[in-house]
Amino acid sequence: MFDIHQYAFDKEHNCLDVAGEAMIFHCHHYINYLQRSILDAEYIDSRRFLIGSAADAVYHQLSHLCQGLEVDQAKQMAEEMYKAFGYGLIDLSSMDDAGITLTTFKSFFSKTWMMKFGQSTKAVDYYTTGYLAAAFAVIYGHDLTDIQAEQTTCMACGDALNTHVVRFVPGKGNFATYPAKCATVFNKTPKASIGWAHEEAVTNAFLGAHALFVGNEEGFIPAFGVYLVRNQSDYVNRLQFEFVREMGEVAGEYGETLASELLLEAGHACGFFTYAGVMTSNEWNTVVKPFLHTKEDWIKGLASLINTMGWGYHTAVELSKERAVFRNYNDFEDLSYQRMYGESKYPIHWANSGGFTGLMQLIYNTDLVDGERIDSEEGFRQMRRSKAKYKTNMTKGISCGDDYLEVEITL
Amino acid sequence: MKDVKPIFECAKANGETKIVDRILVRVLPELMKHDHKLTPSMIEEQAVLMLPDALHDYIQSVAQELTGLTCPDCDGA
Repeated sequence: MFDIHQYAFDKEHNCLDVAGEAMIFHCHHYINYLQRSILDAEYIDSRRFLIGSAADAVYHQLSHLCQGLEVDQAKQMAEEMYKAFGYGLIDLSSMDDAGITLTTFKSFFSKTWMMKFGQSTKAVDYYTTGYLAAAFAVIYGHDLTDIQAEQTTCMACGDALNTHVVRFVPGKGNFATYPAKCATVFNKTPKASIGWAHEEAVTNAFLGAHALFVGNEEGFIPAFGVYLVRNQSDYVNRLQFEFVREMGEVAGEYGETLASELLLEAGHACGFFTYAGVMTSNEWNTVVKPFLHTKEDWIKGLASLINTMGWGYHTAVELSKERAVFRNYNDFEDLSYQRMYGESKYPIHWANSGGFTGLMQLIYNTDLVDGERIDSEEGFRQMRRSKAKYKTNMTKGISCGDDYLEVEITL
Repeated sequence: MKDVKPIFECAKANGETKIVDRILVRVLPELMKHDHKLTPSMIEEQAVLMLPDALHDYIQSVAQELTGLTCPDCDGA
């Protein structure tokens, strides 16, 4: 019933929309680091927005997708979309108009938290709790504010399986809900091209390749040495924005700055691990590597490829080992911020900028171009300790009124 | 008053990237109570960082929890 191929990639804006929600891939390094950073701030009631951010985005999406469907068909749609996006497996057959107690053995969050951090003291699959709340609301015509949802067991805590309980409790919802979002406004500024003779060849070779990344029989998307998930952009970005907002409430600009550093690091880890996986893959070696002669070619080759994945249009306007200036036209973070919050006083594209920094680190501070890949947590730590660090300066952002995202990365 | 610099130095040497930032996020409300706004660069630059005993001990316990290590040489993480 749910088929990602039904949704055309927007080549003009380098994005993918599925039923009103912009969709972006993230790897398990990024999403778990982000979530752990949020949970580290134990004095914030983050559970409300960890669940609420998922529920809000999924509610909008499933509301479109389930229009006109019978209950059983709508359940199937929700199950299939969840699996296709790489979150694992859910069986909604026992859901009725009072709610559901759902158990599952297949959870992206529980599995990959364990892989990255080991056992957790708290349940970690907030996304699925929010997803189930949204599916329940859509299928049975409830308001999100009338739903209580919680995860009661978690494999990341050593439990045998994950359990989520969702109930209809009028007027006593227990997670955050949000105002209606604005429509996406794309920036029409002409893009500065990557300036590389092989850009078109690489981009054309990978156009449509995003649709290959769908959940397998376990509902997971293992690729490039990481686990991918296809996130609703507004879900994952709201996590960042709400985290920074809450930290600002606790400690003003100081709190916001501390949060921002960890968000950049999440992006850095994502860029480092995922881009390394891409740049050592068979597809890369076959299609892109023949065009690569310098380290700068590697970066431009990667930008040409990832511009087909839905994150916006990445380009470099300056590029050397010592200093690089990257841009992204219609980046997913700024568009998301504008849809949900409007204008920002400062740049908010931490994931993009951290990703660019991770890429610089990979190309100039490792031997990746010679085929040596660091793919372990310990290897990553040692490399970060021993090599000169790149500094990240977020200079422009679309949500600040600029025409594009711009970040300067220097040694 | 006790010096917290060795705690952060030890955490940096043994912990993950950005361990200092993680510790600061965890102890933020206590820092605010004592009107301290420690930053990673401040910790890097200053030779000694004297804080009240209770705050020092709290930072030490959080550092130990996050790194999973105890370091007798520096009486820190």
